[in-house]
Amino acid sequence: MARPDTAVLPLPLLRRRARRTYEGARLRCALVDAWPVPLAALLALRLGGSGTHVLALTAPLLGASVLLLWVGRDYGRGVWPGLAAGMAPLVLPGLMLDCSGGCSPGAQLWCQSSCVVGGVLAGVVVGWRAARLTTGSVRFGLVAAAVALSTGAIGCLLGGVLGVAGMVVGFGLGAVPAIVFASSRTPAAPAP
Amino acid sequence: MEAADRRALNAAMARLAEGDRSAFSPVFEILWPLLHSFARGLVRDAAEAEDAAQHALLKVFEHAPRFDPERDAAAWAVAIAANECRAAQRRLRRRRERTVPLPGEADPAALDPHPDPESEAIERDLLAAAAEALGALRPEDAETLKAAWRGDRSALAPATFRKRVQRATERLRAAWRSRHGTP
Repeated sequence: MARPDTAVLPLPLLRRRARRTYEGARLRCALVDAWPVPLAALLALRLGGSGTHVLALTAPLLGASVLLLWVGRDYGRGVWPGLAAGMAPLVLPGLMLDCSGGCSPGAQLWCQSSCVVGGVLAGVVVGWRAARLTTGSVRFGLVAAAVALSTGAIGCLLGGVLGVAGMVVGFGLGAVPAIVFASSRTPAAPAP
Repeated sequence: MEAADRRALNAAMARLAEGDRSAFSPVFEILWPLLHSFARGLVRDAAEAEDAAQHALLKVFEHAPRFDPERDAAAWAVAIAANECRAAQRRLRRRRERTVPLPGEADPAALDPHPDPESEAIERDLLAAAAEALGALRPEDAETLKAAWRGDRSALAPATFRKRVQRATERLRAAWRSRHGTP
């Protein structure tokens, strides 16, 4: 006799239940694996970001990260590299300045410049990683870029709209040469 | 398990871990017969074996997103099934210990907390008759039947034990008939 809390399932039902179990497990793993996003938000708040702005950017980033991690494959693989790359533009503007509540007009130039620099660094990291893949590099690159820019924007909002725009420009300036350089070398192992 | 099937399972499980949903069916179709036959070989009770195999399969899919592609998927899944089968065997043993009364012992599940005198008398007579018939058997026949009721096969091969139980049961029937004339 089977356990009182279960019943022996016919094969089609067993298959459906196995599928539900798998998808549920993937979702739980995705929720756990998205832990860097709340951490990035806390970091941005600590470095002077506005609570409203940070929340407004973090919530969709968290939702998108969980979704991409749940989907998996090239999409999921781009999340962590994107979060890691996005840390540079997130922290640089607030690292050297006391920008609680936003940068003062005098410090805006520094904020915006550091967003450009942060964007360049993020672009180099994402471009290099994407170009080294033998398969799925475009999907990976697009996901990592989107995540990196969204993460960086949480910190670059200290520099206002120009800060975010500077980050995007810097990202392109970093990514393109990195892709060209990495593609000219022999690719390493396939997916990260 | 064939080497080709093992390789196919390893590849499919690695893809499933990455999120490739098209690998779900190959994994299911290779693993289910493997785990089912493994459980049937370990657990005597067919329903418990099926239940253990199903739980093992569900656990495999629950842990699939974290599956390490360096591992052998079949060995990993069978290890999960082995744990489920051990749990099933423990449940069977506990159930047998709880529910099988021996002749001469009262069946706790059958005892009415407020029996009437007539039911009590009938029960006493039946138990006495059963104990008498069992007592008329040879000691080895009595021990064989007691072991069968307990679910304890000891060191005997299954076929040998089944034969002994069959013979002991026939002798018990004959002893009962000779005393009580019931066909």
